[in-house]
Amino acid sequence: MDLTNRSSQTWLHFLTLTTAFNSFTLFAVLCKSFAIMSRSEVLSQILCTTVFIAMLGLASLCFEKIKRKELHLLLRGEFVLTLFFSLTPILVGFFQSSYYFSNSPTWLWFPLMLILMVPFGFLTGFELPFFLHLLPKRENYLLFLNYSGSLIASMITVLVFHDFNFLITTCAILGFINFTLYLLTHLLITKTKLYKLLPQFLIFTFIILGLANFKNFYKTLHKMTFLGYRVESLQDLKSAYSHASIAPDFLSKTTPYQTIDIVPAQIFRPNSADNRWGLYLNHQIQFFSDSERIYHQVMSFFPLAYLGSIPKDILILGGGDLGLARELSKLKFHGVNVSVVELDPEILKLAKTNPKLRSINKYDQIKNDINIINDDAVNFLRSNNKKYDYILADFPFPTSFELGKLYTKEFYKLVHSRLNTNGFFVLDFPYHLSQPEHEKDAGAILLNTLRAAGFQKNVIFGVNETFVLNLKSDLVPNFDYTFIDDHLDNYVITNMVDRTEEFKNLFKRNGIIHSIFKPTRKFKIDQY
Amino acid sequence: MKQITFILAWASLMYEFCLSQVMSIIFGSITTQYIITTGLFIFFLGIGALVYEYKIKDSKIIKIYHIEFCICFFGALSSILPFVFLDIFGHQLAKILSWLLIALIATLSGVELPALMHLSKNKIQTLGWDYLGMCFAGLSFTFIFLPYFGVVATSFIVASVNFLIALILMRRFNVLKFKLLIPMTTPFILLFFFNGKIENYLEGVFIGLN
Repeated sequence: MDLTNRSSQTWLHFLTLTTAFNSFTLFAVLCKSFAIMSRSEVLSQILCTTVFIAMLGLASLCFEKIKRKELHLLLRGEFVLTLFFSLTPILVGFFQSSYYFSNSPTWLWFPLMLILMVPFGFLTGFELPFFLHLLPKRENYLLFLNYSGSLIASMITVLVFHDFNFLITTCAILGFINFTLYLLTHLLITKTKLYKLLPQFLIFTFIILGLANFKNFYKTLHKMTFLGYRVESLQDLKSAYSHASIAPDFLSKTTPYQTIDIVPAQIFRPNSADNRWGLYLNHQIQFFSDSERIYHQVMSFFPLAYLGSIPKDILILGGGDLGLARELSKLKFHGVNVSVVELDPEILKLAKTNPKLRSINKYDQIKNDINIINDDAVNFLRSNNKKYDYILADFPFPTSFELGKLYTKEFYKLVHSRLNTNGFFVLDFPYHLSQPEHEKDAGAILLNTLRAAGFQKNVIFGVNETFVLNLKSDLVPNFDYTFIDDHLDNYVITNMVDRTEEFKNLFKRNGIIHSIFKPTRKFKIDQY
Repeated sequence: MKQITFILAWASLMYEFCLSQVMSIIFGSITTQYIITTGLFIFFLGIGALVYEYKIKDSKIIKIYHIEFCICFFGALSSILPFVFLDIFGHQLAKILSWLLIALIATLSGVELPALMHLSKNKIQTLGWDYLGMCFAGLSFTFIFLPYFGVVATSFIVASVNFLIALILMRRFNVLKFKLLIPMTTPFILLFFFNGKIENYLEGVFIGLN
């Protein structure tokens, strides 16, 4: 084997660039997968990076101890990495589904991350020292190529990675590239005979074929994540899987912003005639079809009844399912303007076209009465100086850093600045008196944060679903239900209750404020 | 030397995390910002190593403490400058300028390790302590600095520690003059003193009131 000739050196340069590209791409993809799984993007991203770098360092140090640093050894490592690339989607798929068992701890993602990141980082860490050893006179150029490969990978990955199906495709491509490089290096540089590589070829082909069939298997795993099984043995796992296999398929979409699932009740009782369904965003229930009217009507109309007035300009942030828009468009005869600002175009598309969502939001009846804007809430408020009388925030619960930004002092200050003098702001208050203590802390933090943003009065209302009405000044209530009476279903009226007095102790708890610059770790509610 | 390596490696990665956090506040999508920042950081760390090899190693003028002072300066401002760019230049240009800031800090950080290895007797040990420092950065940023100090104060604290190390290196090279201490420490004291006002300004930029 001659590594001094120009063509061998050029090939090794190319290997340096492409192996770095492959490794960083998988690193980025794993970071994103665990960020989604953990719902703690900052924590998971930093720990993934820390573990990866630590393993790179450990491998570099261990490299010194290797006695025979030959190209064959590097190629064996690359073959193992090839298998790793190809098996990653299967492992991530299993990990993601196990994370949603009802008895899985919230920190489960961390040991699962270690299982993947430690061997991956360790194997990757041998690459650069090996190349530097094989071509010692080209040290700086090899470093440049290695770092360039990582940079290109970082730019490409963030632009294209969207969902799990893409994880399968990405890993298959990375595996294919790595295996091709492995084969070609053997054939061109070490001059290995092709028949000697047949076992490796068969192993790789077998895994890729398995990966191709994994999509269907993953569908069943995905259904399993909604069943809420308690898994304590292999038998439990088998029961959960067989239940999921016979459960009906349902709509499931992953967008750059969230995962959307419209889950039928029949998934829990496969042979029943139950037609109910639930809308889930990021595995978090938003509403069920048989009880959504309580949520949407109470949230929309209690503030109007409390203050005894009808606002002229109403802004709904989030609420892409158009449930709130359906309710507030009933006020059109009072000359009310309703605007909806939703970040995710996919949920808007489903709201307009999906039969289940259309049965809820009555899109055909309301489409001429509302103004739908596809934009980020923060961006919209920053770039529009228009002021509103009534702003509603219909966001998913703050179970991640990204969503937590919509519950910060800075965001609420932004909302405050876009309200007229007597304007008011309503949001979902996802806390109940029977919650565990740490979630009561989170409720107190939310109230403190609203007050720090300038809302002088907070009124907590609703029975089945709780909300908080925030006023810029200490307005006196002027209860008047008459103008909204016709818009409420009978069973909803009993939920139109002011419960501020029940929560008064919450107002006195801790003084922590959730800020975008200093996000408090206590501001977290558990899943579901 | 190993403690200095540990602290400087810790500081470098802390700046990267601060920048990633600030980029995600301004430009959204935290995972995207972390991945882009990490990719840029790794690349320009490499560029920094090359800069050291070809320009600084044999230089009689530029010493490691000069590099550290530059890192302190830009590191302290790492949480503030992206907002200033946003305020003055708007969204698109702010993104590009922020990436240039990441490149600058990473290049300067990339000069550090080869310089420290040059000063050290045991290169492998220095490398090991460098990796340990980076690991500690990950844990300390997530569990201590971000929740208790916030991203703005974190960059000030890290820059202050970095500054102390620069002074220690100056002393090692016997060039530390005590009369320079007051003008050199004044900017850091001012930053701490005006931390609240700075956060109010950044908040104003975020809300779009400025």
